[in-house]
Amino acid sequence: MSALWGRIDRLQKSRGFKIVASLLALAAVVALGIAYIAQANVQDSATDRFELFDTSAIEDPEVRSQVERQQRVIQDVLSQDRSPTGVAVGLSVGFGVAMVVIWLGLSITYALLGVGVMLLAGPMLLLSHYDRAGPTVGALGRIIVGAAALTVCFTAVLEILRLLLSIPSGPTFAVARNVLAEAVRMKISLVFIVLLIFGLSAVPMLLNEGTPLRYRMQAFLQYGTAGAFWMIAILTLLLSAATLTFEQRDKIIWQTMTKPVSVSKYLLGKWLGVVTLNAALLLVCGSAIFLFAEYLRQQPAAGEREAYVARSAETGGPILSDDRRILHNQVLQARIARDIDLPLAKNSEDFNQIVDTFIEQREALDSFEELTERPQSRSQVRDDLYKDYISRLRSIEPGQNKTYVFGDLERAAKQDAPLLLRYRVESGANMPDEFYRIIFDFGGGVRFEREVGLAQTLIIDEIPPSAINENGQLELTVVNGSFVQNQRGQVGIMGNPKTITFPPGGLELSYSVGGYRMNFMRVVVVLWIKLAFLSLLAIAASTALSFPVACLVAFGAFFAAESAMFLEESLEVYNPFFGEGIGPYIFMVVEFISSGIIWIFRVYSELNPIDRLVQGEYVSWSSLAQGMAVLGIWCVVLFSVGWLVFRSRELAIYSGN
Amino acid sequence: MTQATTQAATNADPDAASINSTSRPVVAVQGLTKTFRDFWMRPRARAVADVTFEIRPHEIFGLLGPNGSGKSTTIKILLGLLKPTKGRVAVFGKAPSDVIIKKRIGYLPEESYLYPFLNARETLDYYGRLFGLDHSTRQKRIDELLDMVGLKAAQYRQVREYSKGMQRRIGLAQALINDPDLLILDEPTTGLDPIGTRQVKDLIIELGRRGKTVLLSSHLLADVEDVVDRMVVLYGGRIRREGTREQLLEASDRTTIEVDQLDEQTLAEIDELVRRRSAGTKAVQRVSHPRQKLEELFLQIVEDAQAERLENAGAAHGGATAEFLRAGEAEPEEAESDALVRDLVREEPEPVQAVASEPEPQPESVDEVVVEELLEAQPKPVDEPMEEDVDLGVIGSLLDEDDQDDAGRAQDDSKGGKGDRR
Repeated sequence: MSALWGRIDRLQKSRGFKIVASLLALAAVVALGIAYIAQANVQDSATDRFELFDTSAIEDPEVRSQVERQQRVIQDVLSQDRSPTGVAVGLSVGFGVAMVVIWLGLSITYALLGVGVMLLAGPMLLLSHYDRAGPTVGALGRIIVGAAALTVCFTAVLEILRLLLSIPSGPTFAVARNVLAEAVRMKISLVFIVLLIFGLSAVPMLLNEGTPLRYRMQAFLQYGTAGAFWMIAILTLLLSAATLTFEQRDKIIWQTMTKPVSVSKYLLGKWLGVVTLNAALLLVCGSAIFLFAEYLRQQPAAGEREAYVARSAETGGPILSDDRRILHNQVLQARIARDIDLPLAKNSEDFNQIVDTFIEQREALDSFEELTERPQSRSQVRDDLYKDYISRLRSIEPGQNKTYVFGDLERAAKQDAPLLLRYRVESGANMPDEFYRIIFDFGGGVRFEREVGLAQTLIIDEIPPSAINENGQLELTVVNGSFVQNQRGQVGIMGNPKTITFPPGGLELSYSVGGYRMNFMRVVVVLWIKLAFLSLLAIAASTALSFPVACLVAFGAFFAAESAMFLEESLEVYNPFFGEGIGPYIFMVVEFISSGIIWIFRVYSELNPIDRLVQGEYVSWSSLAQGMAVLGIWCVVLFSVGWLVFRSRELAIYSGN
Repeated sequence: MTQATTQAATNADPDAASINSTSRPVVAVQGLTKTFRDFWMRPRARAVADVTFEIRPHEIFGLLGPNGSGKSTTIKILLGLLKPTKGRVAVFGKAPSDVIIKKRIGYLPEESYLYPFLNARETLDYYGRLFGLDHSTRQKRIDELLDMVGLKAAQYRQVREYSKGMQRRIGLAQALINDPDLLILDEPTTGLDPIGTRQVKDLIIELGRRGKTVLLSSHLLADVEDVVDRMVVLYGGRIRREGTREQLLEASDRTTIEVDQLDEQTLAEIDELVRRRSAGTKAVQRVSHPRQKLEELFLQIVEDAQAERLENAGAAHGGATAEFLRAGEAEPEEAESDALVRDLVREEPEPVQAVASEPEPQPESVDEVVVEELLEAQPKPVDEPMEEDVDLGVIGSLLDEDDQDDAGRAQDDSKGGKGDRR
């Protein structure tokens, strides 16, 4: 048997075999591509089935323009039915992996493994397909196939990166290569890689097929991306801490640092190794998530007979089902959100006068003379006043209305796609059984009256770009009530029982600037930057601390970074003991520590790419660059601290021994 | 000569510069003290106290002492793994923390601290990359080193599966990957069987002959004695003795003569001659048969087993010294050293040699006149078998029962065999 295997191994490593296998792989990819194109040409596309409405009969140019715009939007959605992106990416990834496997001399090995996987998973899939076994069996089969595919891809990508790290000479790249080997051969990291691969393969099984497609898509993007990020983040922190501390503990570092390796190159090499591993994992997981999202997009949405064919269209109703429309316009988009313009800025001259007036009045009333002598208190007064001003601005009393302005919408005015208003209404205790009727008037006859549940985020997604004026602004009048008509035919407003408030972020207008594909790529890059920061955090901690303590520090910082924005929001409402006894002092300490954490990790937390992806929000290049710059500065600081600590240490001493 | 005075001399006399640049010590330690402190900076242990020594180029220097005497601490200070509390240390004229000098140093620590997840080949490749060696040089040296340390058959097994001896071998290989000018070996024979120990000793000798400077630290005196040129002996962190092997070990007040088997009458005549020459003040104090060293017996057994091609799952016995380890000037003994190494690893068994078949070179203090007289008086064929029936009574009368001479006799007994470098 070993002799047979030896012959097989020699065959797959021979140059001639590799060339033949490469040509076969290329031929297979071309054949699959041709087959896909042929199939696409044979079947009617969704756009072929869609009949354009003849707009020449419409006399009003504005109405005609609006109808034509709507038709273009529908065509844009239906054209995704034949989008080759997913197939192209899938074939490219598959071909790339095949080439790596072939030229590593492992093609027959992996082919045999693939046969083994199919022998194991194939019966499960067949039994499930023909309803001979429960859905769990089929799911298990799919997980096995998915995990095998991810493993092959990961191995191939890692090998490419190892080869790339072999090209430059020098200790930094040698150390980095070694970290990659450590990651896949040491249990501490291998466990998480295996969990990641199997976990990601299992995420599609969590999707409920009865749920609307847009929710399934959001759930998959959320669980898949967030799950992968958290798993990789934990792996990053553990590996970064372990690779340095274990070498010190086991004295392996003696044989490295007695070579011509400077401290900076050693630390840089460790960091580069972890960052490279993260790149491999994100590339593989990101590709898998993207490909599955493309596959999911081609599934029938709620209200469709088949993908992109709405049941309502067959009876003369809307061409697109609501589920498909929302999926395309809200989920699989990259949208820029605008909050309401604030008439008064916090540091403006006008508002400072208001603050002065307020303080004078308070002085007269309360004889609080020392208030103006302490700048810190004045600042506090200004902050409190501004919060109050914002709160009043965002509140509408029963039966009343307010007009809000959204600016910087010039780009949105030129597009066909409708704008989207995301709103959240709060009132009183936000009772779940209370519903308020609210009117949203965008001017020009564009008006929506909605029955709104309290403390729920809701959407209006049919706002035409024509509602934007020539100044690039959109005015929205919100009425806290509904239209009623009395017996004499007079129309009035019947107000809701209580004042309504739009909390911060509770009134946003957004417009599309692109599809989700490039957005997804930017999201992956942002995640990679965050992981690079976390890695250096753990490495810096490991230069001075033992493994468990370094992990404690690194994980503590990680959780603080992830929750910095939540901490800021919580701090605004946190006020224990209401100024009595020891309460203020506790508050001061909590505020001091929290403010420090928020200041350090603000940019990290604000980046929040996964939520943006799931909500269809645009992750801009500028925000990516800003994040990279700020985190880059923190990385330099951490690296400098780690370098200073490490070079001053006596490496022959560890934990006092 | 301190570094400061060396520099002054160099500045004053350009010719001195050229002389001093070649004779500048590879390692210069002056007044070295190392005190370990606890977390609160309280002194807990003084590992090294006021140690001063130099290691000259091309010499094999021994750092000896019992456990806890400060040997490893001194070495770690030389390598920058520890910082001295007091004193000055220079390696190749620079501070130990200097990264550049480490290109010229090879280090084998007291235990092999290797990456368990790498195999032998990957281990050497990694350390070769740290030295910036290009691909082809690395591969060539890796092949030679694996062959030299006998790990070619196990090169693709992970280090975690290695025995201790195998790990020491790969540790030795990584210390040599950069063809170092200064090789620091801390307990190099730990974990090695007698064959491995012999090979390491031969390797050290060979490296010394090729112009390397070697710092050898050990508490196994028998391993060190055969190979070092100079040594210091530490105890309690202080130097107790310092000097060359001859200065420290030679008992100049005694003479040992080794000849083929002699009969009783000849022995008696020798004794009488010695008494007559010394006016009765000296006599033959001990007559005995030299013993084969246990190491030699062990090696012979292994050779015989190899000749029978018996299986061995561990490291194979190594090959010749790697070619890339730079050779020095050719010397007449070169062929003899290579022959010794080849003899150890030859495949064909050779018959067991009679003990001391060739006469040892005579130490300088031997009275050559006495020897000549003895030889002329009793010519003896070389291959005459040893007489088994010895008159113990004659021997006893010739022996001096004074136990004060036992130490000198013990030293005489341990000398000889294949270990001598001269």
